[in-house]
Amino acid sequence: MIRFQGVSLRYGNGPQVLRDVSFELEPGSFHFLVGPSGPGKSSLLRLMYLALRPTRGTVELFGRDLTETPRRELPALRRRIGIVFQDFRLLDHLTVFDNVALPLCLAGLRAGSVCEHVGELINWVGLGHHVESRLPVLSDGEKQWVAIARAIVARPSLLLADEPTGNLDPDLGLRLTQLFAELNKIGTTVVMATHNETLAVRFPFATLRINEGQVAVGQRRAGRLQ
Amino acid sequence: MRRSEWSLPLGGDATDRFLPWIIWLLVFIAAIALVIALALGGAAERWRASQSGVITVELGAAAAGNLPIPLLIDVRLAPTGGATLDQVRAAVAVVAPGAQVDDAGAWLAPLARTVSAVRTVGYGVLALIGLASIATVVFTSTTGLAVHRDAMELLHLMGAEDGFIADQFQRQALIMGFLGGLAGLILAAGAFALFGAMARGLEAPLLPRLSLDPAGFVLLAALPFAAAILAMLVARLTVLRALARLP
Ligand SMILES: Nc1ncnc2c1ncn2[C@@H]1O[C@H](COP(=O)(O)OP(=O)(O)OP(=O)(O)O)[C@@H](O)[C@H]1O
Ligand SMILES: [Mg+2]
Repeated sequence: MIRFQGVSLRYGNGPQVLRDVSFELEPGSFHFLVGPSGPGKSSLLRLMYLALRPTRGTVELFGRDLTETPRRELPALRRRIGIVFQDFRLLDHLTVFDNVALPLCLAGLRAGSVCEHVGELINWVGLGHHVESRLPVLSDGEKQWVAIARAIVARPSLLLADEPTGNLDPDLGLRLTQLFAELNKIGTTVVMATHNETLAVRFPFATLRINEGQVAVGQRRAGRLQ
Repeated sequence: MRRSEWSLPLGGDATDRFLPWIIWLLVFIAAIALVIALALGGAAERWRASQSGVITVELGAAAAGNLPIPLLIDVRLAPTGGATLDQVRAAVAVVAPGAQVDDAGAWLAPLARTVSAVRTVGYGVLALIGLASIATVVFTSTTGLAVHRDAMELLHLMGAEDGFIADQFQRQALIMGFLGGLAGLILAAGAFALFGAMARGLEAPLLPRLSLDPAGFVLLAALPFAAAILAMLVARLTVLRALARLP
């Protein structure tokens, strides 16, 4: 699903964020991306959702070498990825409904049952009373749920979430991770960055540990709670 | 919660409401400059037409005497089949030997040159305003769209095609440009109505009549469309150029 080969990354003339990193994530896997604060978790995810090109090395996604994929074929690849950005990146001038519906709009789907699906999802994440609200009236926790709903609404085959529990209290963080685990069960490959390792150890998933420019892929292990 | 079609106002962020105001002002100024240049050209043309074929007969002091005739006589030659200047000169020489016969065109020529120079300057000013308008629309659109960089990048990352993203922003620019242009045109029309009323009140025959021929009206009516299309093209090119720089 995702393959890094000899990937190095640095921003401009800054320090190297990744140093000759190679690893592979299987389709249908679930990984917690963990590490101390600021080692490059977001940067690693950015490489995965094609917001960055590596300084050196190759990134493969869905079995395609991205350095050799023509530009016009990238949008279709991107539409198969659901992204929860660390800073949400919601469109403030749209309603909650329209924000969540955006990926379906980009996929060229038309109204009808799709609309009900969006409404259901918004209800499910507990924002039913905010369907037609604009973004600025929402709290950070509520925006986090909108960002999550938008990332999963189009049933992506790859879900990349950057600190999705960062703005949620522990109960909701647990509930969110359970939701991702459910999606993983039906085939979605998940990479979830978190600095909350006490949350991560409650699930039987492998870790992707990043530290000082190196990435180590851990083993899947038995969880304490599931 | 049913909608006939997905069409989210993705480019409809409130931050570039500046564009219609700029366009409003530019179209207003351009409309006024256009009307003045066209009207000046028309007035010069009409005036020259009225003066061509006029011959001035200046009677000398000898002929004037006590006769109740004016010292200057304008002779209008029939456009076709009439007398020529020489024939008039010969005829006058018989009755008033000292009289001088001049072709109006002779002294009109420098005046006509002046009028056409003024008209050329008018068109020059109009061209400059046009260039300034284009530059301003380009500048305003580009800076306005810089505010949308985040939204553009987001749509790009979510897998929107470049053309789709450009459509969102160019549609907005088209609407804004047209509304601004229309407002400018309406205000210019108001200003001319006011000017016309004032000119009538003054009964000042020296003020040129600001009348336009149909072609002038077409040009004037085209201003808001030109502004809208310009804003749209600039938006499209700006967005596509910004997207091309993204990975
Ligand atoms: N756009 C950028 N330009 C320059 N340097 C950057 C940029 N983005 C990140 N960095 C640097 O790269 C390093 C890794 O940043 P990154 O945001 O990927 O870390 P992170 O693990 O996600 O941090 P956090 O735990 O705070 O979310 C940091 O040193 C950061 O300063
Ligand atoms: Mg981060």
